[in-house]
Amino acid sequence: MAHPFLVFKKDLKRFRFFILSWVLVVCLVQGLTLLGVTLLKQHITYRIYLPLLLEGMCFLQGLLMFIYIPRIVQADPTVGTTAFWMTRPVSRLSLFFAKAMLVFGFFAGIPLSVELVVLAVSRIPARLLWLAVPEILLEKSLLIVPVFLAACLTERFHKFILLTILLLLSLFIAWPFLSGLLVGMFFPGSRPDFVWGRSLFPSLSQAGLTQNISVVAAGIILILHQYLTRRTKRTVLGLFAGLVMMTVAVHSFPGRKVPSEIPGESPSNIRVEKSRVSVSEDMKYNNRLSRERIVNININVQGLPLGQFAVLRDAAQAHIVYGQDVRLESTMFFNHPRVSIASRDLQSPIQYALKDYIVMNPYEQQENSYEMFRLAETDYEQYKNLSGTYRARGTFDVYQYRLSLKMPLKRGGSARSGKTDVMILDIIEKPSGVTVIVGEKTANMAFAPKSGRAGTPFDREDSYTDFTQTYVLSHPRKRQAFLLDMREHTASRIDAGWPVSHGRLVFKVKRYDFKPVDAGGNSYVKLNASWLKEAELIRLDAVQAGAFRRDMEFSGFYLPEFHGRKK
Amino acid sequence: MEYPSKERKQMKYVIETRDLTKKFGRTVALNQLNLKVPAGSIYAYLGPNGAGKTTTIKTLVNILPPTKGQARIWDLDSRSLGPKEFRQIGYVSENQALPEDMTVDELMNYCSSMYPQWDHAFCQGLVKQFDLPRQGRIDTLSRGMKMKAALIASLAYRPKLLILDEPFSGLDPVARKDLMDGIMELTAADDWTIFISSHDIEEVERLADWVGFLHQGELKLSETTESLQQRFKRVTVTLKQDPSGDVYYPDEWLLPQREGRFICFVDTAFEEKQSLKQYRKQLMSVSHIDVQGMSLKEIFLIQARQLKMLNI
Repeated sequence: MAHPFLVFKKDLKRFRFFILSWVLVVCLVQGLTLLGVTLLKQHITYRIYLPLLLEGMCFLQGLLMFIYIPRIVQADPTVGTTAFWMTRPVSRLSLFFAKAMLVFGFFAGIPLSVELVVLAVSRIPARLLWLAVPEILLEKSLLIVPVFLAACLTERFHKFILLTILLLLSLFIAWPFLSGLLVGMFFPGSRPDFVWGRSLFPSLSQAGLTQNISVVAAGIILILHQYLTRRTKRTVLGLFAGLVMMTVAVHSFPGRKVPSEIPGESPSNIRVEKSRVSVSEDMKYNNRLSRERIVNININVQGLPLGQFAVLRDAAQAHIVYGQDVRLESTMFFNHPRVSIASRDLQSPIQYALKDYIVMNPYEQQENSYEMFRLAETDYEQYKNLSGTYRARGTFDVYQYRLSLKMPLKRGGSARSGKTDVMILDIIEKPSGVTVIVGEKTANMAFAPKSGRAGTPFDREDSYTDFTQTYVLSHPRKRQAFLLDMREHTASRIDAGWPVSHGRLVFKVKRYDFKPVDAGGNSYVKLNASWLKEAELIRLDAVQAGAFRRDMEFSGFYLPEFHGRKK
Repeated sequence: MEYPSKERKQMKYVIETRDLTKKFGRTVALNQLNLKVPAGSIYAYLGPNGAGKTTTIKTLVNILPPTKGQARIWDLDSRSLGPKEFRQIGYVSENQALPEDMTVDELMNYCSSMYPQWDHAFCQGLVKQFDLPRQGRIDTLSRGMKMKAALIASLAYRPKLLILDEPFSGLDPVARKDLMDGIMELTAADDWTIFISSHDIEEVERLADWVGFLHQGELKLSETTESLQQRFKRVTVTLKQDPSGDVYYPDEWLLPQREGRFICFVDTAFEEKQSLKQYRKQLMSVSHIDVQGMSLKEIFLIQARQLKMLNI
């Protein structure tokens, strides 16, 4: 028998219980994913426990991978003085193949096979199924390669891996506090905003497919180099060189592209105006506690084409000028746009998307508000009530609503919108209205070609008030439409994918309440059985239509009175 | 590739180091070592603990890279040793980590795949001879048994060069004798070169026909045991009368002692006719000369003591 197969057989026998436990966990995770929708239909408690169980199992899956791979690799080490292996006529290449075969076969191959079965059973089209293969392999390799490499470069990594994981987890948890402490110690004037993905790995956190592929490829080259030469120093040097090159390469990749200007509309027609300014408070911890004031501005964007609305993405170089000499710079821009589906500014685009349907319960609650400026409490006290000029360079994303799905309001009814299958799981009629339980199954394949739409739907976590996606209850004959009732907010989701990707197969179960009353409790129309019999469920998706930049200048700008602390 | 090939058969030395130096940080483990191991010899590489024996061997088999100089096996730089060469090298060291979860049979089967020339019958015979449990897992074996298993795994392919690094260290006398008998029996038939390191001369005295002595990373002597034993003699000279003044001792006379009319020393350059003449000339009124042969152990100890006295 060829040598690689003998090594493979030896390791397979030696690690049979490890591998079995790994396969069991993989199958369990995918089995739970598969059963997800069925279980969710059964009882509401599953909606709480199933995602938790899945998260736990996925964590266990990763943990086992991190524990087992170093053990397998270091059974025939590439470093150290384990003379039995170093002085045998073992072809290093064949040893590499044997190890790679076992590690990639079981830690990438098995999850790949099981997940493909799950995707196939979930009726994912064959076209997408094939596209899932490179994605799953890449995703698993991104985890396997660093552990594999660490095991190749060290003698006893397998003995310390649990400790390493615990240390990393502790560091992960403690990092915001540690960074605050460090910044406070060494840079007392600055704000401790070192968080994962921003300061430590700013580039890798933005890494896309190309970057991930290059990470895996570079890692495999280094592993192969270590096997062939067993010169750890050189491989470590290569690793550092690779990291530097990777960082440079990743930085040279464009981040999120600003889409082209809105087609057919001259940006000069667009006016950005402020309506209301308010001030809130934030705490700042470094070497001592200090307070900051956040200036929130309600922004109105006028002059957009009909049916479109703008969301501020970034306000760079924000500053306020007082007179000739005083220029206050914002300590940072940390935008939490309060853009809700219930925003008053979005009613016109919603109505535009619904065309001749009449929205019976339009929202009138709030305006879009953005954190536009931050300053120290002392500065605020000094300059409040003084007239100045606010300036910032704003980048705005422009969206419009698209009617992406329309289906009869029937229990078990289903329809497809893009890559999402939507199913009505339940309809609960109440005296006050109707509650619709919607199940969504989305296949997210990273390698799938983008659809030919003008823009791509904004990708963010689902919430009841999320402006990027909503459901509308409509009556096609009466041309009446009801928006969601905003007084109850519930949504659950289950992600099948773990842990790197966003999830190739995502099941979500959402509860939507429709009530034919406004905030004052006035009834528009009765949602009785006869109305519901003919009713339809419509889904609206916000699709990005473009973007624009605008230098914002608000003269006569006052910092208003701060009316109370956050509790 | 077969070793030794026609050319290599004519090669005088199987192992050769040229100014081999190995440093670990500031510690010099080997200092410009020039070692030559003739083909077909059983070379005992001796030295106290920490002398640099294991470092030499690890450098020879390409586990450690030299800091300076070269280590060559079959005239090939040790850094270039690859699977082809290792098919002809057997290496066993003390506390050698074996794949512990394998049984003896599995280990032999696994190792056999690496060597085209693996002699299965020979291997079975060795297992039987060493009384190893074929189905016993390596991790359940005693230390002596593990060493035997390691030795079989390094002998069954009949390597042309067998390198043993302190193979008997820590073994009980029975296991040690078994192992030594085994090596002697096996090597008697074939023209193997054996390079065996030890800090205890007694372990290898029966085996070795060449001996090298390493001290603090420097090779102090390297020659055949025969010539060494011919060269090293314990000499007792009886004088006719007590010498009145100081007696001059040449450098090659080690550990000289005088007690009345008796002078004892170890002559490290004994040569039958010349030496006796030299004694008479050097010590003047010689009445009687008693020359006794020395065991390797005695030579080893004398050498070590002398080096210690000189504080080298």
